[in-house]
Amino acid sequence: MSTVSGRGLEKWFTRKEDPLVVTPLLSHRQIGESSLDVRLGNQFIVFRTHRFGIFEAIGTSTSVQPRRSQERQVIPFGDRLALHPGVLVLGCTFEYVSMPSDLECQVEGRSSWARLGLQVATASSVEPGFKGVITLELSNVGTVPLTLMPGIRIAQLVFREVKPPVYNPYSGSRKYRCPIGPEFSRLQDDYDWVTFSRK
Amino acid sequence: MKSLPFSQADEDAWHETLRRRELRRCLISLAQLADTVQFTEDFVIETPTILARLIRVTAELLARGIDTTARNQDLEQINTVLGIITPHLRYVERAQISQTPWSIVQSAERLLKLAVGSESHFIIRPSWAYNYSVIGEFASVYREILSCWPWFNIDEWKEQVGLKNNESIYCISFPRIEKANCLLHANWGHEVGHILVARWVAADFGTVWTADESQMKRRIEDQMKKNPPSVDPLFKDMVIQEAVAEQMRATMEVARQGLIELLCDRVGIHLLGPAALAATMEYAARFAMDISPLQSSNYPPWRYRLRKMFEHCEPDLKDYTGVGYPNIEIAEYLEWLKVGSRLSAASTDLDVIKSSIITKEAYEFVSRHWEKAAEKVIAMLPPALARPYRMHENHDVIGKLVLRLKQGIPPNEIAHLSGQPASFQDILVAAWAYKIHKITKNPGWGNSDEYDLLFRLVLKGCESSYVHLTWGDKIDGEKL
Repeated sequence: MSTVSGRGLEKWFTRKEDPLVVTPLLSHRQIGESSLDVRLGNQFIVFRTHRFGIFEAIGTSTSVQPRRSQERQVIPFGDRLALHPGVLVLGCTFEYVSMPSDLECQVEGRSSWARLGLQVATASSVEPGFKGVITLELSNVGTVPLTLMPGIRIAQLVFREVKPPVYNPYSGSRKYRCPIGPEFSRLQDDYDWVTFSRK
Repeated sequence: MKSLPFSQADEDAWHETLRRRELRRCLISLAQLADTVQFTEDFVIETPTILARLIRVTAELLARGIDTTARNQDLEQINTVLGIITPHLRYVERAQISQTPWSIVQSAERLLKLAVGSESHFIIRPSWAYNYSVIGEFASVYREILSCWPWFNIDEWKEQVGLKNNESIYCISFPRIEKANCLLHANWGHEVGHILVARWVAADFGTVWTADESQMKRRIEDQMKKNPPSVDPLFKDMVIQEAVAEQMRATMEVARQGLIELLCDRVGIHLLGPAALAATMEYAARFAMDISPLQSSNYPPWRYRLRKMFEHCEPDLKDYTGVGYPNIEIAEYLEWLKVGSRLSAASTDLDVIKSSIITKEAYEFVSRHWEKAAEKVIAMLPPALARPYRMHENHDVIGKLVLRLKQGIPPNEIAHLSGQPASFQDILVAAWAYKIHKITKNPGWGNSDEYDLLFRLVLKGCESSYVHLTWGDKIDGEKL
């Protein structure tokens, strides 16, 4: 697999069948030499730490607990989100992405933000065939609070060609179908949780 | 021990003291509640906080007035005002981001403001009743009530509220259970129509009614004389006159309400084209088509309303083969609309209308004045919205947006990397075209996952298009 350059993406953007879509791109400058900048969306999931002691991904209340322990927040464009040191917030890209069957991408932080202590993604691979906004795990590992605004360039996508194209794109996991905001953790849907769970 | 009755003066003094203390306490509580809502809740647009401020400032200044300048004889009125304005806070509370389809609220507000003027502000909130409605206007009512009291410092109130004299606040409601169903929210076009139509009613309805009144009265009288009430001949004329007056009053109400609803439909369809028509059809399908206005709070029969809407949509229901209309993406939607238009071919609603002299006269009045009234109401729209939205003029764009929906991509821009965000109207029409396409291909289409996906894509499309339109050109000045 080799990284696709900004110019190289043209082929995927313009082809009729199974194109790459990143929409909307507010500026052409988002397409860099070897990556594509994406902007911060306005939906967030914050943890309601006061509502639970330990997060149990499996158990009698597995389908309920993630929702009880997390809360959606919308910060309108023009407003700000303060991210305090040590806090994890789920955000998402403003751009909606439709990945073709022969491309995958990695979500990487921008160095300008990284130098302030912002990490944007840990589960950073976006599979061929994925459609939706990309969930970002935003955490401030620095020592000073950071102000984030929906619409700012927050991360970059680095594309790699997949050869041969995957047969059944994004079929391995349909847990996150066409999301338009960050998704609650669905760890409980993992097929192997029960296997390792001692009754 | 038996207590002695108050003297009147003592009782008045006792009453006043208690009243002032309790009113003051309630007004301060209301101001605090409004303050909490204004500053702690999240809203996607500014209007809810403006209404909260209006309520807070009003309550604060009334509380201060009670302490100082308010006259005793005004206390009962202040109590009435308190009773009126307190529930207004629920409009603010329910407009929180989490309660609304916030992704389309900004786009919708932009269109509504464009239609009735930027000095109008809108709150969009859910109601548990299954109904779309518009409430207001709030600011002028507050101003009018408060100006009645000479002791109330209206200038200070105006300064603190921060609204100019021509600024107004309306609240548009939608059914709570339809929160995500952004396709049905095309009904907001009808609701904003109420604001324009109210202006027409205030300016013109009285004049046109008066011009026709005597002839209508004569016909109703003639009808009455043919079937006179069986009373003592001594009282016959008097009873007839009373009955005629009653029927004239009823006729005017039916005619007025009929015109209002029909004109609002016209505004809705003018702004949103076949999206408004489809939304009205789906909404109307819950009810009988031919209910007499006399049995439905003077509302016109649904068939009559839809017929008027179809008449206006006529240019969109034709085929323009020369320009490839309809294209493949909207052909099924157009066919569905054409089938729907057969509803208006039946005349059962007209039979119901003709069956009573009241509705017959009222709807003849509506017919006589319909064209001119519609023209006048549409003329109130700004030049940017003077032309009606036509699907056949936008079919190319709509087709592209439908294609995106089919591919699981939000319909926010005309083509990928085009740098051209789609309009709110185009997005809604495309959403309807996509939905009808899915239903046509598979009548069983429409489980909750399928609807959920459609709604999500359309909501995201509206939001992205709004951001693109608002900030796109400002982002380092470089167009794609």
